[in-house]
Amino acid sequence: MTDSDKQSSKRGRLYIVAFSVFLILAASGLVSFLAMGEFERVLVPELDKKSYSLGTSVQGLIIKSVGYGIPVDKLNGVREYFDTILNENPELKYIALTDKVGEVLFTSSGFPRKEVSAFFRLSQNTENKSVTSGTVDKFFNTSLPIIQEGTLFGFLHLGISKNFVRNRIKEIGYDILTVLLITFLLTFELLLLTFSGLIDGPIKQLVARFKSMGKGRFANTVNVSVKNEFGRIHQQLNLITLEIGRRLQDIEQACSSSNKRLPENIAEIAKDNTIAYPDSIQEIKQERLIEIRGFVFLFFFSAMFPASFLPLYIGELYQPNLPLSKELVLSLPFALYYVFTALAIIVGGPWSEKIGRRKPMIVGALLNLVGYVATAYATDLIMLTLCYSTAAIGFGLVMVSCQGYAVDNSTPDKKASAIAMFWAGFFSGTLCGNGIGGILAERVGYSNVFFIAAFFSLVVAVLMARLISEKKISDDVQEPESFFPNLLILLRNARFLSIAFGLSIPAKIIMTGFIFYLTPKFLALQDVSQSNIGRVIMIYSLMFVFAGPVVSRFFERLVTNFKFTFLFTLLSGGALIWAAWMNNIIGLVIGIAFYAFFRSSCTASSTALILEVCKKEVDAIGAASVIAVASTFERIGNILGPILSGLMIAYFGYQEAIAGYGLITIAGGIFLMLSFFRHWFFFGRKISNNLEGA
Amino acid sequence: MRFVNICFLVILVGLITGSPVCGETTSPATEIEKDTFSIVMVPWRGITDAEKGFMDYLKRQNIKVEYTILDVKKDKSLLPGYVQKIKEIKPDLVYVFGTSGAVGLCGTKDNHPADKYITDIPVVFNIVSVPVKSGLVATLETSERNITGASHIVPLDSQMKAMQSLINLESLGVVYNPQEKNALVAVAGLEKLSKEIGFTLYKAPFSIGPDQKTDPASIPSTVKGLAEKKPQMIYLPSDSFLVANAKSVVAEISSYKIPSFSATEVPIKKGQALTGLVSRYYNVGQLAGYKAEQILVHKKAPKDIPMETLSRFSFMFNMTTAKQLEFYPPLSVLKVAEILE
Repeated sequence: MTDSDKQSSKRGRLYIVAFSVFLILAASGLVSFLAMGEFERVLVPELDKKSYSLGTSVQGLIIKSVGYGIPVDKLNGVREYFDTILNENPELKYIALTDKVGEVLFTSSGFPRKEVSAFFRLSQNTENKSVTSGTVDKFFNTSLPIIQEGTLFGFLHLGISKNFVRNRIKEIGYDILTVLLITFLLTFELLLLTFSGLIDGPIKQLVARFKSMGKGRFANTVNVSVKNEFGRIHQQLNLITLEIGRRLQDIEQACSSSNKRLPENIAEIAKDNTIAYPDSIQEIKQERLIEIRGFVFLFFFSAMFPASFLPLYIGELYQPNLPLSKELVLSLPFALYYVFTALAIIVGGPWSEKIGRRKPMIVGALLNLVGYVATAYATDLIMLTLCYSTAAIGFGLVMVSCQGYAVDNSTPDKKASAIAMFWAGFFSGTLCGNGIGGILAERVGYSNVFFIAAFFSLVVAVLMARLISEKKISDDVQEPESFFPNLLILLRNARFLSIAFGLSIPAKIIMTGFIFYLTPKFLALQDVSQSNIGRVIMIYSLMFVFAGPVVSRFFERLVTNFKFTFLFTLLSGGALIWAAWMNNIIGLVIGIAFYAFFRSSCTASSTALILEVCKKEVDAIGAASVIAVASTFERIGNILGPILSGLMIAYFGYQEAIAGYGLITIAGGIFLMLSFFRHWFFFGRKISNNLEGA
Repeated sequence: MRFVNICFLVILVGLITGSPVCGETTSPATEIEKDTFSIVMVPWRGITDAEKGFMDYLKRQNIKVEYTILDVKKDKSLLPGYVQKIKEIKPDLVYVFGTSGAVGLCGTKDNHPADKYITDIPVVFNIVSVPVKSGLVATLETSERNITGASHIVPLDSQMKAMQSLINLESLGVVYNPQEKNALVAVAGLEKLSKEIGFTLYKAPFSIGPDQKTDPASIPSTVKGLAEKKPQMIYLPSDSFLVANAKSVVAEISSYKIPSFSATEVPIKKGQALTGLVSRYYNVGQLAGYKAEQILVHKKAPKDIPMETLSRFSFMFNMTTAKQLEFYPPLSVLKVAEILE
């Protein structure tokens, strides 16, 4: 295929995918817009109904009291009772009891006396014995009469803030936008999966075959897995190839039996292998990469559901029975999760190489399923830690075996893009998972989200069992990677250690300790809804998926890699210190956005930096092994993150902990700069980019 | 003859409920044994809601019972004679009301010689406040004897929470019979709670008369002395003297405009005490009936049947007294309270 063919094929595929995504998004957007309008239309009457329903319950109790002979102005514990109702129904802004001429007798705390008292006096009269509702200042007010045996004693008033209605509509709007974004990513992933697997891939192969056949080559068949028309054409072509080979064989046999020489042109064909005999026809194996991207997306999508609420769920199960501070105890299940993920990766990598990727993948998905179901039933922290750690083993196994599968099923020149494809599925999956997890948690509760995630794991396990085969595209036998000897080789390189401790490990510490642990807790303390917590965490993933690669490429043209990495590390730390200084929701959200923006831009360059400073090690064990060992080593940061968070929150508080993370980032950057100072000239040139995707 | 004064009645369950049980045909669908069991009931002061609950439960379970009632009439001296009488009757089970009655029939766990107490016939006690502390049984899980039963007492900390839902508790008075073990146990519990929660406890025991019995004549002076200390509320523990003199005690307390909180039902229902978190006697009686069923029908040994109290209680409020004191229940209490008018 020529370059122009490739370009036009790519463009054609892009048009089809873009058009389909556009259609789906347009349809979803329209439905959402209409639903939003409908929601807005019914919300106020629904809230009115709720006010009325709550009001009748309070009204009934007051009428009962009056019926026992308690004078309406002598009722006891009224404010406390009203406050309890207000706490249980956040849409209510006030409850008030007035006498029959509208003089306020009792109110809930924070009653807006100035705004509504006058209205009560003006609007009530002894003739009015029916329920009324209307707008009073900034409130939707419902008034219910207190009538006992035909005598009017007063009125009960319930007010809903108009702001509540506005905020509710805004929240639903955000939810719809989140769902639309996730729909976009999900559609993109699924279209890519089906389009590439069923149409684009077979077409490309057909083109290649026809071109090859046009040149008279009939020496290969293609292993066809698709069962559509393209698959059938391939099968027919396979049959034609076999038939031509048989004919050649027949001609040769006929010639040799009649002791005639083969015609010259036929002899040439047989000689240069453009046509092969049926028993020497080789089967070309197809790349099976795209399907793994789908599994990776689906698995990590569901696995990340709990990310936005896990610290809060753990907090609910806390019981003070350990001689450690509460915050530290709460961080331990998190830290252990990352310990078990790292162990599963270290042990699961060689294991999956030995027995094939399919089994570890399925076992991993099932362990994740069992872990999540058990976590939903956890009644204390120890049980939760055990269950969640089981899920962590599953998570690690799926991660390492899917990555291995991508490598196994790609040709040597495409291994780097295979790994990039894995990470693309991983990041878009986690991004969607964070957003949807938060929305689900708010609507169905924490435990049920674990069940939903477990269901997805089951679906992934079943699909893997049905669709993944053990065959590898490359038949070269590889020795299982040995993690610890390779790690020892890398640990001898001081500059590798500088990058790990100055850049990579702090980044992981902040990801698990700050983004996944501290942020949900901090936001929950500010009464931020679960959906919004999910969206804030989503910002972090969004930056990594979309902004990082673009910015990285743009800045690379302007500055050298090292300077760029150092500068952006300092800026990302500065963003966190700014967030700490602001100490509010907006500050945190903007801080996370900027941190992720700068940090995501450093991630690719840190990989390139490692390859650059580990040239000897790359020669000895290969680039893929260096990257694999380095990324596993960085997981120390994943484990330290939650523990550091626990300690900093317990001893200093949230604001100081956020600032602490900023300082850790900046200190890491300065450490990196100082350790490379002597080799500054070495980084005066650009580092080759061809390894960045590795 | 001693038994001349004994109210010796052989009645059928129906005498209480309105229809005879002896010979009563039960539903053919029932799987319960049709044998008629004989039960001797030893109530403290005639048939109360507690006994009605007990008998109604057994009737509802289609268990045919022939009852013999030996009423103590609040006179402990009758109990030794009843012990002998029960030994002569040899019933399948003995039911006894109250701590004094139970200890009088069965002795304590450390002192119950077979010639003076009932040891070989299963006994189910009812309305015993503190079966362990009164020395009746070893633990609530097992009596280690041929007895079991039901307690009516609401845990003191639950009562305290109920009081705190009515007032911001800073001082509490308690009137009690110093000769009654239940009352002494309750007062000790209150002392402990007063230190834990931080309120002042004023204790006011009634005086002992020349006959070495608690003197009802001391009620006005005892209450007056306590009222002068101005407690926010006065607590009436589970105490048979208090139950017997509920009206006069509560009237005295109310005359000082002090609200009263009772640990038992009777002072609220019949004595006009203001309020209390109580186990209804009828319900406790049913729980005792369930224990009797376990022994008679399911052939379980009494020592294997744990002693229990109810898990749900009634927050009673006497509205007549509330109006008199102008102490109305808060709305949150009114929502769940059982109002007596």
